Amino acid sequence: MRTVNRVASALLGLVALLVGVLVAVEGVLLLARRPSSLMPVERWNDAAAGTTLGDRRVLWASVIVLVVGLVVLAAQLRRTPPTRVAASPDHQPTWSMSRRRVEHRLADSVGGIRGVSHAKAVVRGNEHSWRVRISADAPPGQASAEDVASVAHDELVRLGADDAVPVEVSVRAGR
Amino acid sequence: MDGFNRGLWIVLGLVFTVAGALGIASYAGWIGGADTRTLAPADLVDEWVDRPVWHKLVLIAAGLVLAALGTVLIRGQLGRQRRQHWPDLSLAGTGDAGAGAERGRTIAATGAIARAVRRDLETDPRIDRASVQLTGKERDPDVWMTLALRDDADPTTITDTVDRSLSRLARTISATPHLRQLVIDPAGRSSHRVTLR
Repeated sequence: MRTVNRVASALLGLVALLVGVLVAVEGVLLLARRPSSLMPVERWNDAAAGTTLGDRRVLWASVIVLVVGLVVLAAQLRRTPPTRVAASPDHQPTWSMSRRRVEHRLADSVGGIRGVSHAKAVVRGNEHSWRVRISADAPPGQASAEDVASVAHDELVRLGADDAVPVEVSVRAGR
Repeated sequence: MDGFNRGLWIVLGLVFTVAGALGIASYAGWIGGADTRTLAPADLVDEWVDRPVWHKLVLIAAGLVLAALGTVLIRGQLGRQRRQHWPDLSLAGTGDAGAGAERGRTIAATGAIARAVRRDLETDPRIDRASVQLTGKERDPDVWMTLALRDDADPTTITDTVDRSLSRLARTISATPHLRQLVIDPAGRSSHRVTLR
């Protein structure tokens, strides 16, 4: 989302720059009482003056604008996982780690337990306050949720994460 | 800049949503008689020609402000990763240069020092790749480090190497570097054997 926002903002900046320059040039032409040569403003004015708000084209344009607005709002307000997560502040110097690497390491560790398969780790929260959710399949009697949580906790300690990072485990009864 | 962008697009999303809703309400006639109004008066352009000079000056100023805001927005997006580099290190020559002889200076480029720190870190076999950037003022340098570790290395075991490397850097440049950011990326696969207790 960060990259999409940056590209979209750069494009918006470009549009603002072009429109701003055109408006300023039109203002200068108005000041000099010379006809506009950059944009067909007369034609646009005629078209707008001949269109009422009750026109179907206005309805469709409004629907498109509304949908775009709602999509933009939904995309921005959706919670996004952090790119990096901070290690425990007890370590000096402190550091941060790639969230994806932490997820891979946790899934890999849990997947190493005998009988456990399809292990998946997901990190949520923000860089300095994050939590882990682990899901995996395990045949009954092979590995319990406590076993998985213990292995995940050991891996988090090796990675230098804070002891207080919450770990939520869900073990499905797999084959 | 990420927070600003998010805020900007939330505001624009709201503006689009409200504008779209108002357009639909106008079409449906829910806003008193709006559906019979035109999008613009027929003589808008002619009316602007006859407006006082200061109106046109305001229009020009508004256009220039919009263009300036667009430029600032573009520069903000492109310049996000750019940090002010630490100035090249310049050391006065020492020792007796002899009467009448000029004492020389040693200039070490910032990039060369950053590469030296990077190579110093990469001598540790647990570090696969390192990247180092020096920023800040001449007597107050900041260091930004990213370390990618090999399979058998854990982040908790690597900080001694970082400390030693920073100490060597401090001796080289005769200033205390501040570690502004340390990113340690562990290897994607865990090399530890799992044993259940």
